[in-house]
Amino acid sequence: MRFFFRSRQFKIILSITLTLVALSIMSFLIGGNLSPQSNVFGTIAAPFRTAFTTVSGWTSDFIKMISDGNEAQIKNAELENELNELRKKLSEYDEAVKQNEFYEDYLEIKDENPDFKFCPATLVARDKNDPYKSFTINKGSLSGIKEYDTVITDAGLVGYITDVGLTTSKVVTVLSPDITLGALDDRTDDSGVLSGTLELAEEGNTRFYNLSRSCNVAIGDFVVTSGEGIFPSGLLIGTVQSIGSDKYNTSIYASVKPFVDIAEIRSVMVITNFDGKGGLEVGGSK
Amino acid sequence: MGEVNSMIRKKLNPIIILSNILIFIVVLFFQTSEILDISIKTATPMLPLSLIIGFSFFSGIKSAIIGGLISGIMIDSIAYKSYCFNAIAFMLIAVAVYLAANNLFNKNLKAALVLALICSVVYFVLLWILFYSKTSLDSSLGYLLKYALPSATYTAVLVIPFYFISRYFSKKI
Repeated sequence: MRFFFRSRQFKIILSITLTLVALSIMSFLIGGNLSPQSNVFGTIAAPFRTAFTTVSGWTSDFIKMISDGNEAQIKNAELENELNELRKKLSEYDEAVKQNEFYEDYLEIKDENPDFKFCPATLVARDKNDPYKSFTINKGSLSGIKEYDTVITDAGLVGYITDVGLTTSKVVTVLSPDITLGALDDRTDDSGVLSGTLELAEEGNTRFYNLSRSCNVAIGDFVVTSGEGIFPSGLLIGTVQSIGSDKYNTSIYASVKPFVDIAEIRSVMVITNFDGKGGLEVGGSK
Repeated sequence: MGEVNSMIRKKLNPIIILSNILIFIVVLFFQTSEILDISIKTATPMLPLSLIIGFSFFSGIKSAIIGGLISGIMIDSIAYKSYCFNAIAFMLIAVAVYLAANNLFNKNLKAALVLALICSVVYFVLLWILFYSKTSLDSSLGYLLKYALPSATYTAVLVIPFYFISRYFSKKI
C-alpha cells in the first residue's frame, strides 16, 4: 500500500480532491449557483431525468391505481367513520364555507396578482436522503430563474430556489429549518415566523412560532405569507394543526400542515418576479 | 500488489464496460426518482454508494476513481446542500475500498460488508457533521440517530447484490 502513496495515481486523486475542495469553497462563498461540474453534468442529465420522471410518474400512477383497488374495501369502512365525524362537525359548516371561499380566491391568484411572473417547472429529481424533501426542477437560469425565487403550486407555497444551474434548480421546502419566513394567521392577523424542524418534517408539517402569548391563533386557521423577506404577501402556506407554547413559556407556536403535499409534488410554478421583489434581504435563510 | 494486479488486468470486454455504465446510470436515476422507493421508515439507502463500494471491490483503481467521481458529481447536481461533498466522498470511498480490498482484506462477501458498513457510516456521519448538525441539538441528534445511522446500515446491506454483480463481471473479464 505504501507504494500507492508515491504513485502517480495518488497524485491525481489528491489534485482532483483539492480542486473539488476549492470549488466547494467557491460555491459556498458565492452561493446560489451549482458548482461548475454539477452544472455541466446536471445540464447533460436534465432531459434524461425529465423523461425518466415522466415514465416513473406513469408507473407510479399505474401502481397506485392497482393498490387503490385492493384497498377500496378498507377505505370504504374508514370513510364511513370519517363521515360520522364530519356530521358531528356540521356546526362548523359556516366557517368551512368561508375558508372555501378564501381558497377559491387563491385559485385565481394569477388574475389577482398581475405583477406575478410565473415560470412553470417539473420536478426531475428528489434528494431522497434529505428529510426535508428538497428537490430539483427542470428550469434554471436560462428560463430566468434566480436564487431565492418563490416556488408554489396551485395549492400554496412550496419553498424557494437555493441553487441555480443552466437548466436545473434546487428547491428548499417549507419543511426545512433553512427556510425562515414571515407569516400571518389569515383570520386574526397574528404574525410570527415560519420555519421547519426535523420532528415536524417527519409528519409533513412545519412550525409557526414567535407568536405572542396574547394571540388568537386557533386550530384550523389558515397561515399565509406576510410579505416580509423574499416571498410575496398573501400566499397560502397551510392550516394550523396544533398549538403549544415554548419551553420558557414566553411565546406560542403552532404546527402547520402545508396545503401542498410536498412528497407528491410533480410540477410547480416559480414566481420569477413580483412587485416589491428584492425590497428586503433574506432573513435567516441560508 | 494491487497496482500490479490492475496493471496486468486483461483487456476489458466492451460489453462488460457498457453493462457497468448502464448499471451506474440506472442506479443513479432510481436514486433520484420516485419510481423505486425502497426506504424502510426513516432509513433511506444511498444506492450509488452501495454500487460504488461493490464495484470498487473488484475494479481497477482508474475505474474506481472515475466511477466514484462521476456518481458523486451526479448526486451533487441534485442533492440539497452538497457543494462537491458527494464527488469527493464517493471518489475517496472508491479508492479506499479498492486499496482495502487489494491489500487488507480477502475479496469475500464478509469483507465487502465490513468495508461497506465502515464506508457508509463514515459517509453519513460526514454528511451529518457538514450539513445537518448546525440546527438545534434535538434536531441534530435526531437526524444522526433516526436518519443517518439507519440509512448507513441499509446502504451497507445493499452492497450484497452489487458485490455479486461486480464479481460476476470481474470473472468474465
